[in-house]
Amino acid sequence: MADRRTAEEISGIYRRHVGTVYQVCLMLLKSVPDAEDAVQTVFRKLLEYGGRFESSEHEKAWLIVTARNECKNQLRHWWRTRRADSAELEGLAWEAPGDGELWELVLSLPEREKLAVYLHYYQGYSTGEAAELLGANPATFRSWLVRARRKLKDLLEEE
Amino acid sequence: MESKKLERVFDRVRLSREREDAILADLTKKHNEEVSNMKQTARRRVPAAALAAAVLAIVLAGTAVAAYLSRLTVTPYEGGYKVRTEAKNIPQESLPADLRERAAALGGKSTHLPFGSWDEAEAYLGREIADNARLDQMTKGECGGIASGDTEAVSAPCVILLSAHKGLPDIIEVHASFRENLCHFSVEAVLIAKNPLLDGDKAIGFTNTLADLTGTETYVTPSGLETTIVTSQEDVFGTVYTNYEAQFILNDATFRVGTSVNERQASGEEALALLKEVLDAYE
Repeated sequence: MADRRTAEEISGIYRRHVGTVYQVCLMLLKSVPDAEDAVQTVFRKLLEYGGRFESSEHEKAWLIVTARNECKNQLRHWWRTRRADSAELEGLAWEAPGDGELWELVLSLPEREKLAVYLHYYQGYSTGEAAELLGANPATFRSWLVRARRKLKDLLEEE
Repeated sequence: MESKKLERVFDRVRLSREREDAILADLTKKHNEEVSNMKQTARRRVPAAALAAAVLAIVLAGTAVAAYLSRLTVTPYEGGYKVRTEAKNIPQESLPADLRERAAALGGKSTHLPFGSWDEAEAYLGREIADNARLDQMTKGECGGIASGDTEAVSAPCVILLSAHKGLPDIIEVHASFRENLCHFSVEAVLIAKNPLLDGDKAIGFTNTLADLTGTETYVTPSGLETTIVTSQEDVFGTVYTNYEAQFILNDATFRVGTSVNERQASGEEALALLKEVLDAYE
């Protein structure tokens, strides 16, 4: 390792971004135990990573990409299908009627589309920034967003 | 505004405080171990006695031919594909005692067991899954992973991923990887352990929606093994990879043998031809 982080630095990065990493993992894995395992793995990878981050945004981008990669690895395992069937997602408490339904709909989107929605609408990345993060062409990224918005349209327009 | 509703939903998606603290405690512990240089994870090798007992079990088990009709299907799914296997389930009692003890300790989780080679993993499981002389000519790669909870990370030429359900072995995956020139091959053999609470055998599935399915081909090897080769493409951070994955059932194990190439660096045709050479070497 080129330059080891201190325990305080690790703890700071963890507290700043654990929420984001968990949201990405839960969206992609659709299972609470799997997402928790993935969060643990992502931050263990941070321990091994010797590079320095330029800013909190750089940290977050690295963690989002690493989380996506980790989930991709986990999704390749056969046994995940069974675990996903018994997903323990009911523990979430929603603020308004219809939120649970919207979450279910977000989960049902193809991976690329739900990441697009999450990065652009929730994390506030521009389409160019989010496309770069996912290694996609900006025009392709925008087409994922359009498709996702079309599928979520009815629920988003209610209220 | 539409995004407000999405914000409200995502705001609610949070790790419990208890789990958040537990993961941080694990990270801090790992960090301290590494800093103090006290941690030297000797690979948790399977005891030699367990291997020897398992080898004996292979000899005793013989190769009875089952009447069970195994079936594997590959279908398009959400732009990617879905594989469903109805391979014959393995009786619990045919699994090695060491594996069953580990499953009992795991409850409903999973763990990785490292082995020096595919043969060692077969010996441990007490069954011949499949030999492949063509893969034996390639350079061995490393497989690894971290299991649930605080199990140590493992890295070895061959890894068994044991998934348990209610303290019993459930899914047993044998993973190995190999390299030749610019082609990297991954081999997975999946065994489904018989669930004593179910009358029939259990089918399991796998989906890959991260890669775009571009084609499927039925390929029959000279020895009559029927395989389905799935071709897909995926964009990994701006680089497009073409995946060739053969799916088949052999000796009650569901196999996935695949290679992935960045076609700027290696030829897809050559990778596919090499995959077929590997398939031809299964008997």
